[in-house]
Amino acid sequence: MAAMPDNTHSTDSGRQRTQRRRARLFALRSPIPHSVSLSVTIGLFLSLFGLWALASYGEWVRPVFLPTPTGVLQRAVTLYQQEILVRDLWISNVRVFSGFLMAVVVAIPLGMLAGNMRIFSAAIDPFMGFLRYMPVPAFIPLLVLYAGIDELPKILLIFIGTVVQMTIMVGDVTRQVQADLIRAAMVLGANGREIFRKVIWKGSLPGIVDTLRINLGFAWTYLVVAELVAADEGMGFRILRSQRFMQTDTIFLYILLIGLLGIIFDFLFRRFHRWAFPWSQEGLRK
Amino acid sequence: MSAFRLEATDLTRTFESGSQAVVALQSMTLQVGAAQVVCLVGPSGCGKSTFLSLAAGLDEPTQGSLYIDGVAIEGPGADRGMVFQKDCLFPWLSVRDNVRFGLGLLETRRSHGASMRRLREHCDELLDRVGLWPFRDSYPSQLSGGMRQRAGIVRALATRPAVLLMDEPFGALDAQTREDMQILLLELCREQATTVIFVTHDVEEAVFLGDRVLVMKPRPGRVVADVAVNLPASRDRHTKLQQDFQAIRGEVLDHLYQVMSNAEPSG
Ligand SMILES: Nc1ncnc2c1ncn2[C@@H]1O[C@H](COP(=O)(O)OP(=O)(O)OP(=O)(O)O)[C@@H](O)[C@H]1O
Ligand SMILES: [Mg+2]
Repeated sequence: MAAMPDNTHSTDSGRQRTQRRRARLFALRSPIPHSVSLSVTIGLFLSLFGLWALASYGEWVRPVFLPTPTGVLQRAVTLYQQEILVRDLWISNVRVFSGFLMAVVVAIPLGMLAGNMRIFSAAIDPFMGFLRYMPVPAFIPLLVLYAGIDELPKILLIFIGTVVQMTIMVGDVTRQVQADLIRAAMVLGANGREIFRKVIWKGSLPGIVDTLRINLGFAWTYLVVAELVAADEGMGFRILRSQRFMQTDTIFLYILLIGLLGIIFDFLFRRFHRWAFPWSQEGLRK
Repeated sequence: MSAFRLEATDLTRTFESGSQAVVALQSMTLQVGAAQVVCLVGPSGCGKSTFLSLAAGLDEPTQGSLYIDGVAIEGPGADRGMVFQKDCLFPWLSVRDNVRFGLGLLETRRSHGASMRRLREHCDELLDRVGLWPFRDSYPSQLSGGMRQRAGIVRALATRPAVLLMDEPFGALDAQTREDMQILLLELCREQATTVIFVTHDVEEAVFLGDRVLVMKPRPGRVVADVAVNLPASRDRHTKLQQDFQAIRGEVLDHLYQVMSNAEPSG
């Protein structure tokens, strides 16, 4: 890190102080000022946006490959007026969350059982390992065969895509509750059920919420695949169809919207985590 | 008073690891009276923690038995409390809820409203005694190591156990805090007439706290010496400077050196 030449008038110690402050920004696992953190985040988005604007308005790239920001915005307005945009957003959210919630309902109990009772881990762990490497899109023909072409196969595909990973992750999370805490509870007189409820479950919860946050992202990545199945609306469907008509602006719009949804859900999950588990926050002690 | 508070007869615990069998504890016989403090010292692997686990009811002996007031130990019970080397507080509970954890469990089992209220008050009193009252609503991660360990002790004492089992509880503390904790522990246990089994690596600590110091040796784990600490019951910082204290400390150290030198060649 070279010293910036902007403080020629300041004293030696002044420059040293700036240097030290700058070095601290790169210290391992140390907090940095909130303002710095925020400006780095916004700065990255803005510069990417700037690059996009430059390349598209400056016509470095042909418009059919790279639409302009205003082009994308216009497309958004058009699709909104045609009542397509909201409809697509709604139906895709319904699909993603239905599949995701199904996976949650299955994965949390399975993961908790696998993580805490050997007899269940003997059954569940190898089976999940067996399922884990299977390519999810390969299930589409079977799903269509079994579940038709309505909403069910699309939701099931998202379910299949997330449930395995989620079960494995919940199992790992609950295994991480320290054996020492379980021993402490036993000595205090807790029986098996109480240990499960008051120690293992409580101790796993923050990790489970984190697991859900990560897996919601996975669920969204399966959306496009799910909407390969005889869909006529939805964000994934719209992206695929726009390719056929070379509507790159629509593709951009929908990809960006999915990214935006990702940021929003992530934020909400983190907020919830901080609110629900104040005890597990890093840097609680200050 | 025929029965001892804590009694071990021919207590043996072997661990099968692969083809080998490790005798963690061999034919240990021990009698501890009410309100006595017994310290266990010995090199690593001599079965100190194994004994505590057995006494806590977390583990079962291969042979022999353990009794509390003449009743054989079968699993953990409210008559025994345990303090671990790591504080082992539940991170999601406030200090006060941690301390009341055992009470909460008791409450769901029986409904002695009046005695429960007394125990709750007792909890709060103890918190106050150890200086944690202002921190009762804090989470463990917000406390210092010494404060956490104090909370751990209060939690173990909350249900007024007859026997307190402690496995190197002060090992991770700095010297000053450690000494404060030793004095505090003696005070609290004397008030409640608690019997204490205290495991430590620190001979000075053992002599300071104990009415007796047991020296153990590994492979197989056995008690090789039972040193009586004939010092006045009330102990403070000056105790450690006394000649008697140093003499007993020397005696324990001699036993320890002997154990070490015997254990070394056999590997
Ligand atoms: N669960 C177990 N499985 C196999 N062997 C064990 C187990 N627990 C203890 N042992 C063995 O029993 C012996 C005694 O162990 P223990 O933990 O009681 O020693 P310790 O005196 O507490 O040692 P330290 O001072 O290091 O804590 C050791 O040789 C150890 O390897
Ligand atoms: Mg030990």
